[in-house]
Amino acid sequence: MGYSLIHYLKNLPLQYYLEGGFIQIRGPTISLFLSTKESAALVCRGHRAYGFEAEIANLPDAPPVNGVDSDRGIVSASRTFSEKLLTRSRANGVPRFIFVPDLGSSDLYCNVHNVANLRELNVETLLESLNEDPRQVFGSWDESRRFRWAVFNTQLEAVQGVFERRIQEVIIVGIPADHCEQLEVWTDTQRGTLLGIVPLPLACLKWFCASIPLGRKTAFILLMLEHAVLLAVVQDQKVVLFRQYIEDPEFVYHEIPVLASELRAEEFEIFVWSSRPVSEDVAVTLAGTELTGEVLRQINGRAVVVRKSDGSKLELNGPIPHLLLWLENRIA
Amino acid sequence: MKYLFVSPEKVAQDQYRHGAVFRLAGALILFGIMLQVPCVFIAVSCWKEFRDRSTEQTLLRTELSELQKANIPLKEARQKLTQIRQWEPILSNRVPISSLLNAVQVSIPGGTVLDSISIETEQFDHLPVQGGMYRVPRNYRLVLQGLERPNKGEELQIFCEALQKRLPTGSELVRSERLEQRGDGTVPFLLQYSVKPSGSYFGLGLKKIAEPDNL
Repeated sequence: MGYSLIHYLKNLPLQYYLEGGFIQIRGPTISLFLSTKESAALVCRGHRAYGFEAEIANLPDAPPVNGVDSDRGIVSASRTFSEKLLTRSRANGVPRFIFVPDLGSSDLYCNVHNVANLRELNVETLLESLNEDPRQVFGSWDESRRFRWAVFNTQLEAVQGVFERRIQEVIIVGIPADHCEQLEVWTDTQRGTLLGIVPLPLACLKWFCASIPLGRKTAFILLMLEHAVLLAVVQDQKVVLFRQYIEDPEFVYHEIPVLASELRAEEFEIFVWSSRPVSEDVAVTLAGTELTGEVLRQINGRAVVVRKSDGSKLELNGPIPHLLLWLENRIA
Repeated sequence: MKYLFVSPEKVAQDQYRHGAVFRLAGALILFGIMLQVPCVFIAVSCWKEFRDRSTEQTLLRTELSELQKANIPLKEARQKLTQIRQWEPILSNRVPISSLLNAVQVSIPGGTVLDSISIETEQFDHLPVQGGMYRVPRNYRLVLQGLERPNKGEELQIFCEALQKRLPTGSELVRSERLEQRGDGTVPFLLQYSVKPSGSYFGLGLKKIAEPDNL
């Protein structure tokens, strides 16, 4: 964003400064995983976990979840959701929020595009075209809602400027703008700062590419989300394919050999990431590594340790705490 | 992935709140504003004083203009008054002769007879008045000649003292002579006074007018 003196003077946070904002130290980070059936919050300070709470979506003044009617009436509590959460976690200060929403298949656009097939020559014009009308880029787009868009390279790093020749493919990600606005408004009500809204598949794949070295092998990652199954193919720490399936995991699993032959992947491994433990009947049919528990502890080098108020330590090895802590360390 | 899917406005707000450069700029702006407070206070005070003075000046100008307007009809009266004041030394230096005679009459004792009264003016000043010059006497010479009955040597003295009391301030007896006694026993005498016109002639017997006419 291009800053200007006039814009700064017009939007001068005078009240914040007068309330001592000049000497405000960096506040704690609250990373929120938001799904229709499952939600969790991880409170961190200085890249260390201070509290973890599950099932926060049912609490009063909780953040809005995409696809769930957020009209819960006016909450007239004396303290906000984040204040209560920080008190329980023995942290204080202005909270900074990272949202990891598990969006439905119609609420997330994520696809790998070949740069040669795009008319736009740089990222800015591509984003402009997407904001104007996504059909200028995709051809077929029947969604009437406004989306917010981001463009990454295949290593899921943000790209800017003219597409370089060595970049052959880009990943375009879009999520509904109204959900982003809901989260922004909610952040304002909590008097906090919004650090980012990272869709769950994006966070998982970024974590996967950064944490699991594959060498020459090809990885097929099954992301079992609430409303869909996502299949991503990673080669040389780059995402080369991304597909969403509404069908069950078994169907997707049977797609993998076909895709492997198409991609000429002689050696490949299958990884399964799910926010909840995979049911036994599904687990029997899937031959792959489930990214949970001891596996995650070994990948990240340690468990997520939360210090309780009584001095005891709580070790967490679930996919959500690991993902939220990694994301917090990455962003905050 | 920082600020991913966050609106530019929110990003800017966050930077303005937590960015070191923006916080420093905000501190400088607030410090500058704090410095301006006394300057603004002084400026406002000066402006208020200037405004009060301007208002007062305007009022005085209005009053001056009203007074100037009121002064115009008085100009003629002032001119007439100046002309009248030119006559003031003339009038004040004119001794009313009838009053002088009255003073002599009421002062003369029973044993004294006057033969002649002579009043002459002398030592003239020339005062300018509209239309020419006016000669105003600075001195009146009063000469009284008469007879004193025999063996009444003190009566002339009483007459002199009584007359002296009635004459205007500054008047003096210049000459007092007794001549040789006549055959019938009466003694002729001669008195000469220098009467100075002082402007106040109430001693001669004049009376104030109860209600003087307005100009």
